[in-house]
Amino acid sequence: MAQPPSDRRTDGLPAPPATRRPALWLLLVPVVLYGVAPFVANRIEPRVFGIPFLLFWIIAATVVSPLVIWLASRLDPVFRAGSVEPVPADDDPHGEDAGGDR
Amino acid sequence: MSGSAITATTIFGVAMLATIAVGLLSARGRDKGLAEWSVSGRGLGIVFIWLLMAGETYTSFSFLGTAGWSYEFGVPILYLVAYLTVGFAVAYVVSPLLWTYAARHNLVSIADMAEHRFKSRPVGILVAVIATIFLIPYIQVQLQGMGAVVNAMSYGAVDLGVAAVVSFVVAELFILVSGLRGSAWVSVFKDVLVIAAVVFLAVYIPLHYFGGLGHLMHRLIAEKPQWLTFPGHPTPEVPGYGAAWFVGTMILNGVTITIFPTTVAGYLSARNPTALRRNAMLLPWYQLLLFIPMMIGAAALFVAPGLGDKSDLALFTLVTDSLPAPVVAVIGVAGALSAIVPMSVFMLAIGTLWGKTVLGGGNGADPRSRVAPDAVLERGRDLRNKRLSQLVCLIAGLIALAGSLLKPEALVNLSVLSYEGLAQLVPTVLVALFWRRMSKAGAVSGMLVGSVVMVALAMTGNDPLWGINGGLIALVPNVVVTVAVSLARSPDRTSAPTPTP
Repeated sequence: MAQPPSDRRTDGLPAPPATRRPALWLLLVPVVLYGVAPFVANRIEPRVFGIPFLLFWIIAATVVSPLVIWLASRLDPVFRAGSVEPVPADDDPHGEDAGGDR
Repeated sequence: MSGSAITATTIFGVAMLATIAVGLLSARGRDKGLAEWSVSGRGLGIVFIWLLMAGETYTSFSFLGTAGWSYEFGVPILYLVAYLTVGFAVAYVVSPLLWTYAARHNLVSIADMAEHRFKSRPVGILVAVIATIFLIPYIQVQLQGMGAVVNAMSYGAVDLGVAAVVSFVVAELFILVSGLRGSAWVSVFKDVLVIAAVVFLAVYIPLHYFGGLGHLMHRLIAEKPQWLTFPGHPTPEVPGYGAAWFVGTMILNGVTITIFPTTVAGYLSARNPTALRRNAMLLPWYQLLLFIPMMIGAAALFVAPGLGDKSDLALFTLVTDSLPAPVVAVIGVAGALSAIVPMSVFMLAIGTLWGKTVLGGGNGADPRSRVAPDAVLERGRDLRNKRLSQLVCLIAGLIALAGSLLKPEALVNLSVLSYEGLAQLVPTVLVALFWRRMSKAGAVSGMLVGSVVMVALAMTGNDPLWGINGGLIALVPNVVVTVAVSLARSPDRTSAPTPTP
């Protein structure tokens, strides 16, 4: 039994919708939440539920981040279509393949 | 051997046998080809992907290093939670991207993808070699971590070296037979134990020693405030880790983890890209568990002061001190499996990098290749590539085992460089899929310059440099060279083959 030819695995999955995906900017929110911590939250007081402020900030960022990723997916047309991901260097309308050096 | 030691060692032995059984049975009746072994035939659904990837992120470092860093430095250890979570935000885009490219062209590793993208087997081989250099030390760290865990849980009855050999045998047995599917099934066993053990410790340790978490917090704030803000508590060797290091490492590791050959094996095993996107939302919750070993490391500051260079044992010191042998054993098994699961995937990933790209003649995308793209899919060649992958999987494990028995220190120093080294592959493996004009010459020269600068910084003791992660600094010349050479050498996009760099 031979392996299936190359395109089989992505057959049946829709092509990505040709729209912009502004919601992906939301994915920077976790980076910002953690990244600003040493600058805006680098202190022990005020304590929240007895937890030092810096530690509370990081725990809160860890709870909030998955919610933000979830929100990004809800607003992302590619996720809603359940399609394959656009691969800019591979989705060449003029050739079967991409490549740097041809 | 004391009674406690006998109890703990027996429970450990039974658990290892159970692990082997679960691992061996998991691939019964499955296809025998390379894609099944390396990436589970791209057939895992959301639950298994979650368990496998959670299993990969919770390594023996989580039990040892996390508590140890917390004990030694304090809050700088939060970089771990930060980069893992950021990594999942990045993975929301990168994981389906790599999946799509690999599934479309039947690729199984980052070397395979680089070979296909640049139509050049040498590029694939270079990626495989650089990745291997930085991954083998990581296996050794897991082996030694396992040794430390088993030695502690058996009250010193099981020797470090014996424990390392046991973990090597267990991991190789199920990974060689069952491949990634074996790791996914063992992860089920492991994740249940880890969650149970860690949640139990979260309640028990503060209650037992301090009369509650609140009291521990009070004492930390009153007596150890240095541990609670950046740059953390300085040691004689390390003056603490400041904001620049924290932010830089978070970004560098957060991106690099998405191209780690082990992470990529998990991505490629998914049934479809939607499972991966969902996973990026669900997995960050698992990182909340990492706060617990951090808290226990901090608790050890009061219970076991003066651990010195044994700070990695902070968690197990408290566990053996405060709990009866059967409970110690269960927690020890959770710690041991946290070494075995990631270790098995690391060995598998190295095997896959070599079996097809380096030793198996590549995927046929290279026009100079003697392998036609269709021939790669032939049954005989596919089976041969799988056998070569298994052989390398075994050799890589043996090298790491020899290192852990003969030169425990040498390679471990390299392992802290794993992320910084693999970061140098990000342009070639990842950015190249976005930027069509990146050329073979650009990718290769950038990758080499970045790796050399990174290793030079580390070996001259200049990492971190000016408080910034050395891998991030090396990425600057890497990217500059990649872009400059790509723009300079491939202005026309003719079909003529480019001269080799």
